[in-house]
Amino acid sequence: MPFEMLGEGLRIAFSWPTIGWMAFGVVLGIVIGAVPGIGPNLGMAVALPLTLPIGGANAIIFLVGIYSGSMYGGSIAAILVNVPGTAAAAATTFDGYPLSRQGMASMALSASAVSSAFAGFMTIAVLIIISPLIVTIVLAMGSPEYFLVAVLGLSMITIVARGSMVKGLVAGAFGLMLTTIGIAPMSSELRFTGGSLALYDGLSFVAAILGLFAIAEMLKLAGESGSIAREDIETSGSVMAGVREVVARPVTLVKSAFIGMFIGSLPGSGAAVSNFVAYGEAMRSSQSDEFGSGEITGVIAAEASNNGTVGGSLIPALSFGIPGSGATAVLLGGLLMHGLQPGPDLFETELALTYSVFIALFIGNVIILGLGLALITKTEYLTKVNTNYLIPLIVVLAIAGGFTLRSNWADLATILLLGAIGYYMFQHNYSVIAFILGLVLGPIAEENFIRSLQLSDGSWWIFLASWPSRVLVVVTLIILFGPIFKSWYVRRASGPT
Amino acid sequence: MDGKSRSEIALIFLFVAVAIVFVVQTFSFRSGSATLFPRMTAAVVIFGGMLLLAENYLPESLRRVVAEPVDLVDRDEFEQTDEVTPATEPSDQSDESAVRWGQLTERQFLFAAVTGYVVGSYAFSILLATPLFVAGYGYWNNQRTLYVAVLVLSSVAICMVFISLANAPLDRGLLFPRGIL
Repeated sequence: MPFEMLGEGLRIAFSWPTIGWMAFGVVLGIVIGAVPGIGPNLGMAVALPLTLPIGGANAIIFLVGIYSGSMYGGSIAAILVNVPGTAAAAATTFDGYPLSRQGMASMALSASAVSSAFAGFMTIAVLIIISPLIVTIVLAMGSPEYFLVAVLGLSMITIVARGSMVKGLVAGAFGLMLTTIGIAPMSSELRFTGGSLALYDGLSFVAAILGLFAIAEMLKLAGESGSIAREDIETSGSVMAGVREVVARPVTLVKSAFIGMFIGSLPGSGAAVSNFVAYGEAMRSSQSDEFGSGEITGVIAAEASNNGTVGGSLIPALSFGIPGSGATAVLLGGLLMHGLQPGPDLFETELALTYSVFIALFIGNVIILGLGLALITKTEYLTKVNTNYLIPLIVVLAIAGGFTLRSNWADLATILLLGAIGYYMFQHNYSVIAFILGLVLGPIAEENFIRSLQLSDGSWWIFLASWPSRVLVVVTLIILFGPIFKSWYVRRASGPT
Repeated sequence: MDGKSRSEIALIFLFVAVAIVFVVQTFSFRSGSATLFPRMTAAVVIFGGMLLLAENYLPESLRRVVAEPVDLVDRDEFEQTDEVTPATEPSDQSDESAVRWGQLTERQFLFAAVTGYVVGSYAFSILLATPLFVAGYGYWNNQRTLYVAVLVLSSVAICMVFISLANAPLDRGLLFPRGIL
């Protein structure tokens, strides 16, 4: 059965126009990743409404293409102008930019393209191999476990997001709370609509994403005028030297790719974390003291890990509906928008589609490798885009796209209000990703919570009834209270000062 | 509340106020199952919000938990302090030197313009409000007329794509309920 589905997935991924959407998504993703200030979250958010006419499979493959392409694209700005195009490329700046200043930008860019692509190949291959195991786990989960996995995802984000844990919890809980607007699950109760018909179906998740990513990001960008690149950027150096450097470091490549995949597979974490962990591990295991001043191993580690994260992050996103990052949250929005429910459905009736996404990612990495090596000398132009031209067009895409989905004026109000709230959340270090996670997980968490209580006649012990449930509860408690205990223990050990 | 800016305090008050309204409204629900989840999530928002507002008055051990960041990765360990700095630092124009037109900063103007865009869309239609917004924003940023014209045409093209491909009623507004196309 899985082999038949794999064959069907291959057929979908290589069919026209699906493969064309994948290629377009990857190219768009590279551009989006390379332009500082855009990034995959915003790029995928504004592309979401545009996917309406192209159908479910094409839309998801297109969005995955943007996600994958932007992971590589982020390294272009990181290497050329020392400003990571995405958070996932932050560690790439440490050695990529010094290499660029030493006249080896082409080498760093080609090393980035090759390590991104090969990390993608390896992790997607592993993802396809282990997918029967994922199917088994997903199908063994019941409502209590689904609710607890959602809570675990939210708990993770409070420590993965930089900043105060309480701020993360408040942001996540506020997102969860807003999802209760509209008709309650498993009852006909109308909640918090104020009698407005426009709110009967609740807040639009896509409108919320557009507000939080497009409008809030544009408000951030509005204070940063023009292009952040210098005019004297040159992509000098040897392209093939970068390829040779990657081939000469297979251990770093493989280790970093799977660090990325592992961290991506944890609910709530993503490439913004994995690139630092892989970079740290490369630094720890290397004899070189050139890290931070132009060590190519640093570029390889960071770039292999962030593309490895893409495959890993699809595991919790597709199997439990829990995004590992802002980009996977938007991807989930795309799934829901096209009537595809993350969870068992994607591993039973829609298994061929799931496989086609994995295979399309594989194809996407071939495109990254080809384009990355062929167009290195042209990439500098991407970093010179004037943001004053982008801002009005992105706002128009958000407003027109947000309205197109449901033709509901409440969605425009949602975009505006959440755009303002998102901007202030960013200003004061409240995790916008935790807020988005709350918005994504709210319906899943509430439905499974209520169903679990109905199954147990209202007894909360159902959340401790099975071994997976108990493990999930213990892990969640460790995540939430571990930092508090650690802080208390450290102070106690160090004694009064 | 010392140490928190007014905008952060306003943000926390907004979170807490919305949560309180949600809790109060749940008492009018007929279905018991519909009340549980909103109350639980609102309780976390209210409790967390109160802790953040009272942060400086908490015992030191609790204050640390509330205020101090928790991070899986110590990014500062890697970050450099040498010459490797951005080629040109993005200039934050929220400072006083950037104010124009009745003391509006770039961000304030953008937010005002987006608000006007949304209100205009509701009143006249997105198709009519879009070129006004894009042209207004372009001129306020002192962009060349040619660039503004290209941006306006591009933005109208975006609207037309949504209208033709997704059959979106972007030409309708309060004043034009049957559309302008």
